[in-house]
Amino acid sequence: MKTRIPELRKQHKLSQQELAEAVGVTRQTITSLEVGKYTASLVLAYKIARYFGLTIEEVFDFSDVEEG
Amino acid sequence: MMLIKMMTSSFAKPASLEEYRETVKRRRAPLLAGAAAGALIVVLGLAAVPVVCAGMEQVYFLSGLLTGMGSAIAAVSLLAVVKLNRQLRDEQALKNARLEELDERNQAIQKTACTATLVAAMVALIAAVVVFAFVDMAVFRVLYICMLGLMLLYVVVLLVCRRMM
Repeated sequence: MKTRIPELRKQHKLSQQELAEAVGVTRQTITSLEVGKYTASLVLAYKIARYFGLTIEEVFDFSDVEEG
Repeated sequence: MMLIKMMTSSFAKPASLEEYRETVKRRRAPLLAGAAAGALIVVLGLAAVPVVCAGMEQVYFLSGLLTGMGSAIAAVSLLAVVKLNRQLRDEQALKNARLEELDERNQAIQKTACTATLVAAMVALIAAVVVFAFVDMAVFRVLYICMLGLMLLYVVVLLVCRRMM
């Protein structure tokens, strides 16, 4: 799944570690989310979106997720 | 340690740092029991095996095996207790341990690893049962009972987890 996390981090001048601490996960989880190796849970997606003041759809791209 | 972590954290997720501190405190008792069990195995290996199995060909092997196994269990348990005590004294270490443990990716990795291990163990066990059916009936019976026990355990754990979620 594609995300806008790297772009949003740059905008807010945040390191992966700082974002990780803010949303209560490890830095490795943020790295995996950014490169698309790991898909965030609903709770984590909500925390990240809320941290940037956006909705989940504005941070995570669901276009390549199959329905059903 | 992994088993104790699973037993004490999977069913009740510590929300705050204070709750996690209590969880860490609770983990010391089973670890100390593990250290005591390890010491008991060492005593069995050093004192009981040479007496009970006297005259047997593998008496030294059995004694050495139990002594080594018991020492390893006791040492690992005591080291884990020392690590937990350090976490309880150092706030930052406790925070880091909590973050590592509650991180959802780490939890997903552990679940995948457990599932893969279970599948591999079942495949190996089924293969061993089939092979020993032709080689040795005594070993076959033991493996067959282990296989049925593992399957039964899986079903019970699955039903318990279904009720909890």
